[in-house]
Amino acid sequence: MKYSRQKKFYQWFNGSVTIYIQGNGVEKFLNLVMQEQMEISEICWRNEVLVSAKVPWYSLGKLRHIARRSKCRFRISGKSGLPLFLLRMKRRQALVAGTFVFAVLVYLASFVPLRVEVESPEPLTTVRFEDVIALAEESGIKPYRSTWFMDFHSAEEHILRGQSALSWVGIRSERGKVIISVVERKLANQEESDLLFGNILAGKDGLVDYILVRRGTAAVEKGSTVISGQPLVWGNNGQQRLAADAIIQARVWYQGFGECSRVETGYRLTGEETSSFALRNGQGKSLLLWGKKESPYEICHREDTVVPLVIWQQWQLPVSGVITDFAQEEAVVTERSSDDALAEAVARGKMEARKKVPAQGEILNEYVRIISRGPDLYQAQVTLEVQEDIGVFVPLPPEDQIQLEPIPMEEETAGKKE
Amino acid sequence: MDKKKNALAKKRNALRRAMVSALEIPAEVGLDIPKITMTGNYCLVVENHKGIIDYDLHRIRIKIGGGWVEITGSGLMLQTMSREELVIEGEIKGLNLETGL
Repeated sequence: MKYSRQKKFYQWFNGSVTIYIQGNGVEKFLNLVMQEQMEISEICWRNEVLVSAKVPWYSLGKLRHIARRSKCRFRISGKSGLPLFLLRMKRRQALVAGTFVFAVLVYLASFVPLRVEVESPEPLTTVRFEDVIALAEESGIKPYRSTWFMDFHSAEEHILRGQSALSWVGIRSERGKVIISVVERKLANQEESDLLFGNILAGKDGLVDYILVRRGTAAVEKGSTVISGQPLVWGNNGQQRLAADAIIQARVWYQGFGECSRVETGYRLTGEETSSFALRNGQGKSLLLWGKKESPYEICHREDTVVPLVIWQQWQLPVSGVITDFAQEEAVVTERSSDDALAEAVARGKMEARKKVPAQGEILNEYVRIISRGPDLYQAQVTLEVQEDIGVFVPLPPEDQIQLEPIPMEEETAGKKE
Repeated sequence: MDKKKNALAKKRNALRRAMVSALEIPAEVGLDIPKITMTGNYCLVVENHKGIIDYDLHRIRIKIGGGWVEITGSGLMLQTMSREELVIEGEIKGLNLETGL
């Protein structure tokens, strides 16, 4: 099949002519063509007297002599291929020019948007699409105007200045339209905790260091030990339900474990690397174009990168390119002294503990406990004492999201006493 | 006299085969004999042929070294024709080999 396709492409590139051969000496005609080392293909009987065949167009001159010698006649029934197409186009220059102009016009038209659209990942609450489009028009983003004359960057800035409720604006041209993507600013007073009634619970186990209640009633005090899920601030002030709001700083402890051997085996890159490129279709079949299919190295790190093959804009080939990088690795044996191994175990324990500490946490103290001291394996446990905000707002269930009736004065006083 | 000639020819062929076998040369090259490859009943490739003897709608006769090959069938088409090989496509129903080797 591959061979046949190559042959057909070769025929098309060189130009071929379909001929009808008639006469008694068809076999002689074919043998003479073969002896002259001319290419002839697709020979078949059309009817009882007529044989059709395909020959290169440049060999027509020689065929006349062969036909005369074999007492056959032939006539041309069709022409195909690149040279013959170019010859035809040479005679029809106006058609070629028209096609070229048409292609150029289509290309230029692709820069002219037919409409302007506004999109947002979430429904807009305070900004209207019409206002964004009006602002865009002020800065030159409008339909039927070439994108060459549009300055997307300055238009984005203009829209942001005109609509303070927007936090981000991005403009792009795509498939005959200009799309303005907007993101609305989320105002702080629109937080979930402000809209719903709820309590503040402890997100972690810890020791409360500092508590500042802005709304609600404190359920713990400074110095209290709390466990995860324990209420810290109730979402009521004795009279009505509200959304609890407070800052609760507590000490939390994180542990990390590290171990290190005196002799460790690892791998490192040698710097030697090679790549290969293959085409892969949807069924996962690959055709290797260059490079090696398997790694030439005994130990290596392999990385596959799939590259979609795009011809033009969104026109994508049904196959994708796969670049495979093979990086040679070598085994490395690291030997440490007992002190170094212990220090490494502690460092690893610290690293593991630090990974658990949240970004806003402040490390106050660190404690190291040596678990094992060799002779070959060293183990250490590191504990970090961290101060962080552990309060988590938990809204009440939907059925409790209703305001309570005001509590009579006596009961309120009694509640306070308790 | 003819018997002597035939015997001599047979000896010559046997010697050639032995040499080709010893030198590990492809037989179709060393002995000037055809190589016929058939795929199912729709494609037949004849390598090292000597030309076409007869060709009509249902039969193709091809000259080979020391004989001929006759292919019968329907819709027979000579897909490719060159001095090296000949590719026949169509519904092949029969293959007849006549050779003096």
